[in-house]
Amino acid sequence: MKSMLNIIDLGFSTTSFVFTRMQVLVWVSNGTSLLSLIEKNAGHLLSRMLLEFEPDKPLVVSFKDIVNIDDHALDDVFNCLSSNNRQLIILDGFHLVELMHKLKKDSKANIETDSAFNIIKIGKRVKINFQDIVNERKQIKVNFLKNTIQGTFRKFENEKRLSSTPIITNGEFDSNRILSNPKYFIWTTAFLSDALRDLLDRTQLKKVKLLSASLRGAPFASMLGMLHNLEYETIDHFGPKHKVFEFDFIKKIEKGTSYIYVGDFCFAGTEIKIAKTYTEMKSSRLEHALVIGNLIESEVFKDDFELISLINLNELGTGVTYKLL
Amino acid sequence: MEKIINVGPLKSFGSLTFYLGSQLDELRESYIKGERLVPVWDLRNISPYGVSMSALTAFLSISKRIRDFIGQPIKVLIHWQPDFQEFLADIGFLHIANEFDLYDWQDMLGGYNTGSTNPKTKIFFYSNLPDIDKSDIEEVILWKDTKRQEIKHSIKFRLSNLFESKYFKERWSKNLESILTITAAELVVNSLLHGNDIAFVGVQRSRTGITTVICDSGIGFPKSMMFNNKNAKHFKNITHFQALVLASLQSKNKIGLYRAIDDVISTNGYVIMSSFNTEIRWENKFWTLAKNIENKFNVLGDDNILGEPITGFVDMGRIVEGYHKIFDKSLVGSRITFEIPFKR
Repeated sequence: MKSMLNIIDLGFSTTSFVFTRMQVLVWVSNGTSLLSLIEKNAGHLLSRMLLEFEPDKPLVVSFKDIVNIDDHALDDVFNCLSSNNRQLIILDGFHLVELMHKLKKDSKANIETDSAFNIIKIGKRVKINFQDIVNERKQIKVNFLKNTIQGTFRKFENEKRLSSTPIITNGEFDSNRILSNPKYFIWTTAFLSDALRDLLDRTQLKKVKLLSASLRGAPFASMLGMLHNLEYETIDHFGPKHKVFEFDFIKKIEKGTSYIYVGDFCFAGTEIKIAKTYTEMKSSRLEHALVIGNLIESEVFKDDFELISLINLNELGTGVTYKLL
Repeated sequence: MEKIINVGPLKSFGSLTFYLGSQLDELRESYIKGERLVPVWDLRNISPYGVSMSALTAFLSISKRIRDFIGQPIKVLIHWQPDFQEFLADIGFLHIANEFDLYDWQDMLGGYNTGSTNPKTKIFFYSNLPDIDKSDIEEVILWKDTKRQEIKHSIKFRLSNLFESKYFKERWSKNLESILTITAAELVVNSLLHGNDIAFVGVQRSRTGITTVICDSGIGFPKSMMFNNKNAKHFKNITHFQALVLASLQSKNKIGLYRAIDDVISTNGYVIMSSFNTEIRWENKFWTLAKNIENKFNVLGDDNILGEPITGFVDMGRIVEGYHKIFDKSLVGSRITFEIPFKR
């Protein structure tokens, strides 16, 4: 199995553990067609992480959105853990514990469950504070997003006006730098996916479709669609320069569809407001928008839509300045 | 000399067995006697509506076997029904028939459009038989693991059009999808590895669920058990019924075919396994009974371990509970059908 990613790109190291996410390993090793199923290659990749990625620390893996495991998928993992030299801690995978006992076969690896925190521990017995895992995971996400998005900032020689909004700035965040780097794209999508899951669980929306309105938002929307089994539409070209090339979307009346906007960065929210108008022309609605980064506080948009952003761009310390034209 | 074989209406797999069983026996006999009759399929009794996907898939598999044996396309007698031909084209039947040069249509094929129907059925095949040393366990495991992954993704891709419906999306889930792909891949790999034959796969979306059939015209379960087991002598006189039950149950860790059946039953679905003259329908009640057999090898030498087999008509009560049935006639190969119902 060849991958464009190295093992260290597939996880994060903290002071007390290494963290990864099973769906990321599935994506990298088996592609995007069966993202909720662990197959042999994904299991092998997890075993490589156990062997190669800071083996002195426990490996914490989130099984979020994993629904099933194929027969021999965890053979290599249980082989690695049979000598109980390293601990594997599985979060969000309690629904699979019975299946894991079956798939363990003759391996001598210990399997313990902790129903208080819904975690499964396999291999070496090490005491670890669950709250530490929760806290450090939050920090992993913040650090990753900060570093990644800082890297997308490109300073202009002179101040320029933004394409979509009458705002003058000294630089721009270019999400192509996320899209063109597999590690950044995969992990950013994973964090967007968590935010989308929370939104769907909280709102219990019916007839949901994702909507992206720019070429840079489209890859995120399509991946989120695959991850959450949702239909998605991409309109070329709501923004940043508003010139719609394709009208089939608008002509199609779909009463009662709940659109969720997916984009890269939100500055003044112009693209989202245009998208909202278009969906209302279709007798549908757009009440939620999900983006990687925002400039203006989400609170400002609350009468139009709920803006969910992974990070506030003002917190990055890039030296970016914005002022009204 | 030609032998015209009436294929019947193809309304069910039972119907296919009823019509073909004795006629294929006669054909076989003719070759044993050296008469070498040339078969001709008579498809004129097929009504365009109500053709069974399982029967069509099995018919393709049998046709491939016979075409290979006689070394030429099988002559076909049909009515010219462009609508039906369009349906056969859209579900993939004609593509497979052309791929293997199965039939001599006698200029009765044509005049139909393609792509205008929205079939709820798809038929395709997997033909990469393993080129490995089957006595090398490591090599077999590696081949199986690789092939299973490949087939799961291939099935997902091939069925994507079939699954593009709002009705379907609202009633399907990632978990049901994983059960469908894991089960189908397991069965296809078994056909290629143990049946040693091309696996034909038919999938149909109905109002109630997804039905999948995997057919081969291979050596069947008893011979496969003899060839693939170290203790072949135990299986010397094994019947098709015993082989089907043992194949279903014999997994130390309850994986493989055992898990496939168990997973499908857990969705309130069913699995029908058929080999030559025997059919078993695993429904929850019958499957639970089988799982509770203390020593699975007790099945050897006991065709009544799960009760008396049915020999004639199967009533509705037996269908919902599960059964095993012995047909008067047999059809070469193995066929496994499973249905996964939609969420309610």
